[in-house]
Amino acid sequence: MFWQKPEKPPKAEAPEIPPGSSQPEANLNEDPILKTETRAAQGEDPQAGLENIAAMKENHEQRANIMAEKSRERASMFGKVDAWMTSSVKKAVGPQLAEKIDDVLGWIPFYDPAKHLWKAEVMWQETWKDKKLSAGEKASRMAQSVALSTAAKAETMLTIMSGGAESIVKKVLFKIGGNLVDHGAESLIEASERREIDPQTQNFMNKTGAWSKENDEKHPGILKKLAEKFLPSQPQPAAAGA
Amino acid sequence: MTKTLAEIQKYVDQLVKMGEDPEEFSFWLAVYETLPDDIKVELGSNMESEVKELEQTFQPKPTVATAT
Repeated sequence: MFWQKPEKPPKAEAPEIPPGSSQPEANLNEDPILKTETRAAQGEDPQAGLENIAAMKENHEQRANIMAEKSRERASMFGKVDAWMTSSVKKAVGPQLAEKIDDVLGWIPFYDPAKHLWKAEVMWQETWKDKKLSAGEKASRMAQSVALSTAAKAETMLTIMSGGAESIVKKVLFKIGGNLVDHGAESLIEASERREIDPQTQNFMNKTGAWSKENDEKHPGILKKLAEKFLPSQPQPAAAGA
Repeated sequence: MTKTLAEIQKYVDQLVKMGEDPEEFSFWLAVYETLPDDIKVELGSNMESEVKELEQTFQPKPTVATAT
């Protein structure tokens, strides 16, 4: 769900009065009844004031319920969009290429890529702010990997698809992820080859959905394959004596 | 009937003013024109009804007449 109902503030507890002591002096600014009386003295109807507060509270709950319900409806539309896009792409490319699409879609979560990349970018920035350079460097590289691999998926699809599905992928993935895509070549390959990942980075990758054991086992080496396919190859060193 | 992107943008502006999450709607705005018609209709209807229902919560309730 995209919208979360805000938590209600805790109720203020009444101060304890020690036995035998006198009542504390009333605070005109805090006592709701005295406050109401003050309002009444100013010409307001105290009962109306209380009713207004109750109505506001009811309104707030009513609005929260409406938003939650509508958000749920839209969340179900994500599934329809994804199913439509995948179906139209598969029809366009035929069964052989459709299988390749399944491979790519199966590895990288497609749902809500905007939020996916946004989280990666925020975590990347926060890591640098903490000055934890060793762990931070790894985390930032993984963030770039997320962006690059997501864009790589889009690139894979763009090369083989046709029709309206092309623009949805282009708009959603490339437009949003473009600012991170340029940096991830090295880290992408490292990520595919390195299996010694520190807990912080592993946690990061799990949170962003960039990595999972199941995916890794299901599609071994897919990161490297994507990198080889879509990243510009490194310039070859000049031959000796040339 | 499908709504235009301008109409959808207007609903989004209203919903965000009424407290909705702008991040979610940025996604829908970005992809709206590429969606198939049935999802466009469904999304437009969803936003239109949300605006109407939320607006109703701002309407003052009819006052109860008191006996004189």
